[in-house]
Amino acid sequence: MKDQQYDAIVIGTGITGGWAAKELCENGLKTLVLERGRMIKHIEDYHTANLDPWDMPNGGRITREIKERKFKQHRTGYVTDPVCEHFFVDDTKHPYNEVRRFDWIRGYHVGGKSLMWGRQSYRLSEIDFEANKKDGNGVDWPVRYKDIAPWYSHVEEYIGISGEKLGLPQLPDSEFLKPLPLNCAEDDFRISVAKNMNGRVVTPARVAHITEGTKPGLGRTTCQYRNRCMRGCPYGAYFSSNSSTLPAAEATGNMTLRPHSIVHKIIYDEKTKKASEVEVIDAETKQIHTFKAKIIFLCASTVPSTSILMQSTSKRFPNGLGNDSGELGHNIMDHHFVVGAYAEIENFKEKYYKGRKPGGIYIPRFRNIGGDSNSKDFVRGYGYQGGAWRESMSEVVAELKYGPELKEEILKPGGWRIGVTGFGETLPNHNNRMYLDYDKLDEWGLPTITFDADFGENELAMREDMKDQAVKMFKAAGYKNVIGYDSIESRAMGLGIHEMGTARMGHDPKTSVLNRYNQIHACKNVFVTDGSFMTSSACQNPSLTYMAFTARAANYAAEQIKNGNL
Amino acid sequence: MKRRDALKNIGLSAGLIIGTPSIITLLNSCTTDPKTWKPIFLSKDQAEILKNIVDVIIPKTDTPSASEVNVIEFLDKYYKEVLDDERQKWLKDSYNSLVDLIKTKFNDNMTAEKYKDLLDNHMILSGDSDDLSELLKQIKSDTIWAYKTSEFVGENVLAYDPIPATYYCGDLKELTGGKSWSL
Repeated sequence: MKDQQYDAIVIGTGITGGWAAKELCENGLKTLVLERGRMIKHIEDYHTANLDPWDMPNGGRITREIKERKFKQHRTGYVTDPVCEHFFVDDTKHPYNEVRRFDWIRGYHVGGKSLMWGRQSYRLSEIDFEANKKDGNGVDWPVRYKDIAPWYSHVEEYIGISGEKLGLPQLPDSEFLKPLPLNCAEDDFRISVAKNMNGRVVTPARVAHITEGTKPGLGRTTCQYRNRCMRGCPYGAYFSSNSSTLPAAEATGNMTLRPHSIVHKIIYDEKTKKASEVEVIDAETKQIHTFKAKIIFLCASTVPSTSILMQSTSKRFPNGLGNDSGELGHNIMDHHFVVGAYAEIENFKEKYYKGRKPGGIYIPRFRNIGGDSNSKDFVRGYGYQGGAWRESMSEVVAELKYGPELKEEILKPGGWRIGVTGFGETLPNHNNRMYLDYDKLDEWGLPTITFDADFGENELAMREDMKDQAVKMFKAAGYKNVIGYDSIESRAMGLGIHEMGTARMGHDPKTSVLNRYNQIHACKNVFVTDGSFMTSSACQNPSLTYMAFTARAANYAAEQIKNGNL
Repeated sequence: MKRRDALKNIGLSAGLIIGTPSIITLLNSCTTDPKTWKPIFLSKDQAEILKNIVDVIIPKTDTPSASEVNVIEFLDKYYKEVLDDERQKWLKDSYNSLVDLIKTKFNDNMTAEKYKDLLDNHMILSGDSDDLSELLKQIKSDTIWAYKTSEFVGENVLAYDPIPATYYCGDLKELTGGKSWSL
């Protein structure tokens, strides 16, 4: 096929691809947006969004057939639910390899994981951007909080983040819509923690949901409290590329969206010392197409973006595009979690809630932020996510075998429960890596990816504290049957679906892949703005940060083109 | 049963109740004819025993019994399509033991009262449990889940609220009359 010329190419349509497309198109750049998977149209393609359990075969339980096709995705225990499994890949069709277990959870379709993400949205703080420099792990971030703060605001105002202002230095406030309400048990816990835990805070989860009014996009309106987000929201109440950024890009008339386009390689031009074109395999016909552009935004999500760079070898870059440092594919991080506590709450038997809210509580980091918060056992910190709820049936059910009395009891709600799980920072470690296996090719003749990574001593030491402190908080609140847990089984890297760091930013081209504007040091017209740029992981859910960096990089790129620098 | 036929039959005999949403919902969930239905995982004997047990566990009162909301058909399909090989084998073996027990101990002459005896004597709620007890407990919890997941119970017996549009804490009695939410 003949080359087609654009101003910009965006690879990927997920949470960062959507933002890159919007910002570049709104800056007047003719932009080709490539997506390896199928089209998913907002609302139209959310075919399970309004189904009740009895509308689904087997009450919505995961069938053997799905488990067999998605055996690695199924490690999460939830993404293979029939209500949303169609947004996650078949592992039989898209294999990968593991030296050490790595849970690579993904969806190949327009919108990517922005359709199924957890929607928890927290800013990184100055403490996070300075951490590597201060304790000597990894390399220093070439960005500080003040550089990115306006871009957080830019993104938040557009997508809508609900939350409560706290003024904490370790967790800066966003531009908030009103917070999700706490239920009575969560509020009880909030009051107890404030009283008993030396300044620790319980706050409503900060989530990318519209809690009042509307936001731009395809009719985005207020949350209806159905908590069926992972199926796609017919109200557009949570942010996704499909409901928000892609429609905005489309509206400019500057976007060409091409699904079924697997990017195979970015071609480097030795003469101009820039990337000149992108080679694409049509996922359906397997034909090869090439597209030219002045700039390329790599937003395919951490692992695919890194593998595209690795596949993009040339005389100048024999080890992969931009890989002068040898760090490409290394330092892979994820948050470690599934550690915390749960308990029973005896009060509030006469209370219940109406609605099913899409987020519970958050406990911001309280470790290693100075003074007596500092730990001798580990560096960095963690936050907790959790919530309180009533069990779906009375505890009396366990004591009965049959009959009308049992029938009555199964219809009554059970007691209140509360649970939290920590989300902990993972240190960058050169030995944690992904690489390509050219001996095992996929259906399109592309190399498969091999992971070799795990959590380290700092993370394991942190987990002790994550469990202990959760237990302490529940005990201090007077809750019953407090049980701390640390699920070793569910502790593999990747399970947090926050994989990041494999093309890190840094000051020095010798130790990093990207500069402070997400540009490849030695190939300035390629920008990598998904999670692969992360120099450290912090402990906050990262999507908001990816969006802010993408918007910043896209506007910088547009400005550089206008000034004739790119 | 065919929904239209069912509606027609009820219409002839009980024109007044046909318009009530509950009845229509019950019919919507009724997709199989008990006379011609063939189990796909269980044997016919096992399915018959299961029917009797689930209706002892959740009997008919002013709301339907378990079998009336198709719990048998539901569980038979669930066993086949959802459970893994190991669990399926265990279930088959345990159901066979149950059939044997009923043949030997009860001489195949079962009544609702005898099924209650069976549960009283062989379902061990706490303490050491054997395979038969495990099967009976499994049937109990599966029955409860299948019953609560049925359309009729989900929409008419439990508190049903597909589009709450709000979230707040309130009084249990006022919000749901003391019932659990179905979703």
